[in-house]
Amino acid sequence: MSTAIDARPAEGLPVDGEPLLVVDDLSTTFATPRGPVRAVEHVDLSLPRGRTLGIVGESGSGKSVLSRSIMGLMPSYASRTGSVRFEGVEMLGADHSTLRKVWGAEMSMIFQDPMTALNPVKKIGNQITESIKEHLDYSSAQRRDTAIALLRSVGIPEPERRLNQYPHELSGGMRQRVVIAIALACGPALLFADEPTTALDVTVQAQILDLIADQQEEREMAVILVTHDLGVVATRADEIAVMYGGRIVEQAPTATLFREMRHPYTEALLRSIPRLDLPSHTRLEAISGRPPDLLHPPAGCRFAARCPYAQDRCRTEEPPLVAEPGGRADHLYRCWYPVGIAREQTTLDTIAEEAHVREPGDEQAVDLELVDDDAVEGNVD
Amino acid sequence: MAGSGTAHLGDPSDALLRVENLHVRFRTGRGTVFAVTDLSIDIRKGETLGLVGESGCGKSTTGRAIMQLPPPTEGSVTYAGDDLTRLHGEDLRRTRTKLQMIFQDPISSLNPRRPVQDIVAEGLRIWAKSAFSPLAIVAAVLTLIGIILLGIAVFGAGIGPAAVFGLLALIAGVGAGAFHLAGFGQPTDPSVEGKVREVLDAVGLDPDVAWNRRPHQFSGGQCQRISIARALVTEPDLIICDEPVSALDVSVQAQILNLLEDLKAQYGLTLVFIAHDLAVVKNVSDRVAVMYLGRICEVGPPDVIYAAPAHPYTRLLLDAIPEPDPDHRGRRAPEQGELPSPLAPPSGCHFRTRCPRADERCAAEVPLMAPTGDGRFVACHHPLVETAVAVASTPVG
Ligand SMILES: Nc1ncnc2c1ncn2[C@@H]1O[C@H](COP(=O)(O)OP(=O)(O)OP(=O)(O)O)[C@@H](O)[C@H]1O
Ligand SMILES: Nc1ncnc2c1ncn2[C@@H]1O[C@H](COP(=O)(O)OP(=O)(O)O)[C@@H](O)[C@H]1O
Ligand code: SF4
Ligand code: SF4
Ligand SMILES: [Mg+2]
Ligand SMILES: [Mg+2]
Repeated sequence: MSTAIDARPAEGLPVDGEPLLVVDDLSTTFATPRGPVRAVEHVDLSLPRGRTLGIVGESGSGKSVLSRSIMGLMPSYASRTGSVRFEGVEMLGADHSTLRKVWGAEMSMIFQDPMTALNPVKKIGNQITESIKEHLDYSSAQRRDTAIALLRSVGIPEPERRLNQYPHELSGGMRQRVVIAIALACGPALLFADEPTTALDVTVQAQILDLIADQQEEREMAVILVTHDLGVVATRADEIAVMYGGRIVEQAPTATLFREMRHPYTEALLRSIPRLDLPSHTRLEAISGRPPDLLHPPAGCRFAARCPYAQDRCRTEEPPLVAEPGGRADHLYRCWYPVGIAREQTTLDTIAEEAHVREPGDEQAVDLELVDDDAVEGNVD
Repeated sequence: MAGSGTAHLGDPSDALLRVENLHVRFRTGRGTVFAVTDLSIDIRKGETLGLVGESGCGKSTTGRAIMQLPPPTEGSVTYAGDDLTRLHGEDLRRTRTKLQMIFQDPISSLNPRRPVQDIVAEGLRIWAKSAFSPLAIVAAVLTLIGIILLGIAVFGAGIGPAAVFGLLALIAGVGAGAFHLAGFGQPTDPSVEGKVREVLDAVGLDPDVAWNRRPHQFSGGQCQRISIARALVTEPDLIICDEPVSALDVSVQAQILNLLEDLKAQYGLTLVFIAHDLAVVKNVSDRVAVMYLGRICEVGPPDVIYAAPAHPYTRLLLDAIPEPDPDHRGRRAPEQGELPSPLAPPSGCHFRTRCPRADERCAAEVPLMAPTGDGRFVACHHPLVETAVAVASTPVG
């Protein structure tokens, strides 16, 4: 990822015909005993080869369900509507044998938990060669060589020796590298990385993300990077989709999102991150309350209960996901009273300017669960 | 650092707790794990001391050694004039109520079968638990009657009504004993209930709503609040928070960090805050100690350390952090190398196998703490910031 964003072709434009992945009005519902859970609703996305899409949002916002819905890795009580076209082929309703050919070979996934992604009683080498065997017509010597080359490319020293080791003999970072090696084994065109580094140290996190970026450049692989941390995607993604309550609430090229963010939820996420460049004891702006219950989603804007700017209209009418009239066509958001238009623009710089160090007695809102107080406070401006 | 020495320790009268020359070693089938090596640190009254470093560097082990869970292999932990490593039984238990620890995984560290009121009251009960509660006495008497009647039945009287009654008494006795050990039947002191309500309220949970619910009915952030309430209830002087926000989303993390800062002011607490996220540690700490492979590298005010790290390891950690700023795109993290095995830590400076400045001296001598003149101390033979006096050192050994 050494190229600047601006040196790349304009966002969303197909390089040759249709982009690698086109998702159109995708919704996913789980039929649960308590009723239908609409975990993802009305998602549109498109991702060209070689690019990275970041998906950001709190726990439960639907990031993992969206990735799995695109891949087609769904339990039997889930139903999807809409369309997912991958390399021009419709994936919704495709039969299982088509999907099996695509999984691992064309689309692969690095799962959230590196510990459970590996089979604990199988040697590392076999876990990699099995994936190759399933999709590529290689001799066993070729498979072994490929596995060694893969382990070396993901920065594992002495790969020949590692082939005969079991997962528990490796550190967490090493294990995650093996998981990445497996995901890359067949040279996929699209890689899903679901919180690939959340469980890891910053040092290992940086190495793993660099590693994914290298492989991406080498193979023109597209990446969907899922995380709850805006800091992780800021320097890694070309475009970012922010999810809340199963919907995309803001979507824009990365630099635009950080410079001209419009959605109060995106703003709140950015404000809640502790920053290295601010003095210690800077008061963090927590988001009060909790995400909506998707069994009983609220009417109107799904963020209204936690939004500092909510007005009556927000509680009754849901805002559509649209671009600003006269604004950038590739910057979409869902809000009636957007940041930077209905109120002042928030950026990393304005947050730094407003930051204040806590003072003794600065004990506002010990009860952070009380949503209404904050909402009332926010209505003042 | 991976260095040693005690130059960074302040005036003992300012310290709430003082750890000197702490060693923790674990014997395993594969050899001895050197989890903490010759670590000294003082925790000053009213401060938040941040402890950062990569996974496995000994942060939790240090925290647990302070709590004597288990006691360290060597070294002293001085609190209120007592060396905790020399206290036992009731004395240790009594002192330990003044020192509390909050564990990393908010959900699994809470007993899933107990209602919130019991979980929070646990600390008070453990320390007030009486061996002679009415339930305990009933349990003991029933068990005894059961054993005697069964004994009579076995050795003579045959299977009669006495044997049946004896068996029932035994079962009831053992059951009552189990209930006693599980904490039921303790006198529900109104002052206990009041205290539990007060701390639940303080951590932002409505006592009436939370009272009889169980942990799984709460989110990760709310479980962390319950853990904090449980620690607060004994009115401790010091709380050791082990990765209290690592398992949480950024939004919930901010709530918990703010809560800890508020509670610290409200209750006059001293905190040890363990985390691997440097930005989080900076936000809450008055002093930060950076750890590597069982030793302290650098300790001082966060604004000083983060503006210009003196230890090469701190530099490496800071360089690895992703900036939430797209303008920093394309910056690559430097080569990091692998953490050496704690079974065989390198000689001299533990960091030398990954350090770009390492030379022969680093392999031969353990660097000692030295001041940099700005309230910070560093243990490095070739620090990135000049030390005020030549770095003292000890030969390997
Ligand atoms: N198999 C399932 N059955 C029913 N509901 C589900 C299922 N999987 C997910 N959900 C629900 O869908 C919503 C989105 O879940 P998802 O796992 O995608 O969240 P996430 O953003 O990935 O969160 P996290 O960061 O915790 O993984 C949640 O409300 C979740 O409870
Ligand atoms: N009970 C134990 N037996 C053996 N080794 C242990 C034990 N507890 C911790 N260790 C080892 O001690 C080192 C420090 O562990 P710990 O303090 O848990 O690290 P962290 O900084 O992640 O909290 C690690 O190498 C760990 O594997
Ligand atoms: S201002 Fe209204 S529409 Fe916009 S996010 Fe807040 S509640 Fe939703
Ligand atoms: S310069 Fe030497 S003493 Fe300092 S950190 Fe590097 S190896 Fe250790
Ligand atoms: Mg997820
Ligand atoms: Mg730990």
